[in-house]
Amino acid sequence: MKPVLSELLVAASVFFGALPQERSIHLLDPWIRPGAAGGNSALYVRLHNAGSVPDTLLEATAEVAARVELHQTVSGPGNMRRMEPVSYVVLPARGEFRLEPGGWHVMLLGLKRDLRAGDTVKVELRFARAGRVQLQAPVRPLSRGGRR
Amino acid sequence: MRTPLRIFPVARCRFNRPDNEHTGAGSVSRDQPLFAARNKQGILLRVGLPVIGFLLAACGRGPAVEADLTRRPVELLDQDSTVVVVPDAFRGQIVLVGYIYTHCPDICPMITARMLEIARHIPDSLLVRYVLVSFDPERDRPHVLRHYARVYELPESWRLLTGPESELQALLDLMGVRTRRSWTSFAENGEPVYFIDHTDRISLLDGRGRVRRHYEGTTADPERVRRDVLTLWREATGVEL
Repeated sequence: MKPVLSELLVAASVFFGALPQERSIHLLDPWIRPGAAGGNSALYVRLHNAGSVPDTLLEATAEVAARVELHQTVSGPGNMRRMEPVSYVVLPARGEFRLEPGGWHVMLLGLKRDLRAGDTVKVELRFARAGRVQLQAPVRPLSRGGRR
Repeated sequence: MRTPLRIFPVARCRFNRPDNEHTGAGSVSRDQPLFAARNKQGILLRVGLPVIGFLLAACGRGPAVEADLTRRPVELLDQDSTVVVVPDAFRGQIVLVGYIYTHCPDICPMITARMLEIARHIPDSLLVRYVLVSFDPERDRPHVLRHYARVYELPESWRLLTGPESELQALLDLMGVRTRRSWTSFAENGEPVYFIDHTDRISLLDGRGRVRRHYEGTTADPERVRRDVLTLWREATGVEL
């Protein structure tokens, strides 16, 4: 599609309210862990906010999971690790927030099917300003997803 | 379960021998004390002890014993529902143990991934065994562990263990792994959804069922673990690899 035509379409969409007013959120390098049906998995992604004002990730949904929540892994004394649900994630203006192993992540609870390396999972994230943004995340084999 | 190949103990480092007549620097007697020079005793002690320490280290003595699992063998089940008595089932083999539960979506896969990475650094010829112990026996039955191993594409030779809570707890206590059921909610069907706080740990056992090193599970340096494994191998066999 030619750039001029593309820009015209975006402008028209914004005008008619079909798209959020500021298309500033970019979801970079998303991936998901394998997971067994009935179990849980996690989505990791770099949330890039190109806009001039902060935005907030409010929630996520995915057809493949019974529930989707935002969580954070926290370290305690004696190398204890625990997970805590979080209500939202704030993206700074012109900044990036990383959901990554050992930290913040989108948790997929109650998987409806096995997620195996090579599968693709559709997830929708809802932001306060940018609205709903969909992504397709590949399931990475464990050997590629363990780094911290 | 395949029959373990027994490689321990084959030979001991000579500095480990209790009979001093076979030792070099370790031969200490009242007649010929190692630090015999009366007027230079202090200097010799200061110089000699580090030298002996270095020789002992060079001889291949591994990390200190942190716990002895033979004091309390535990009877568990692997993913094929085969009874596995720890540590007896692994006697004669170096073992790397990780602690997980299958509903853990973040830290436990990192620990498992780290063990896979470590395994890639260790020669197959050393026949190191890889074991994952679940601390969630309520949900992690053998068939759940078997399915988990398939989805995660773990090597067939890995053993995933579960078992009665009392047995698991006895093992975790010896390993210094703490767990605590934490945040809980309920699914639409009323089933509880819970997570477990736990120690982030991988442990290294020698062929005599003794814990020789603990590592932080998610960040254990594969090269360091490889060196420790080689040290335990050398300690047990006298063979330098």
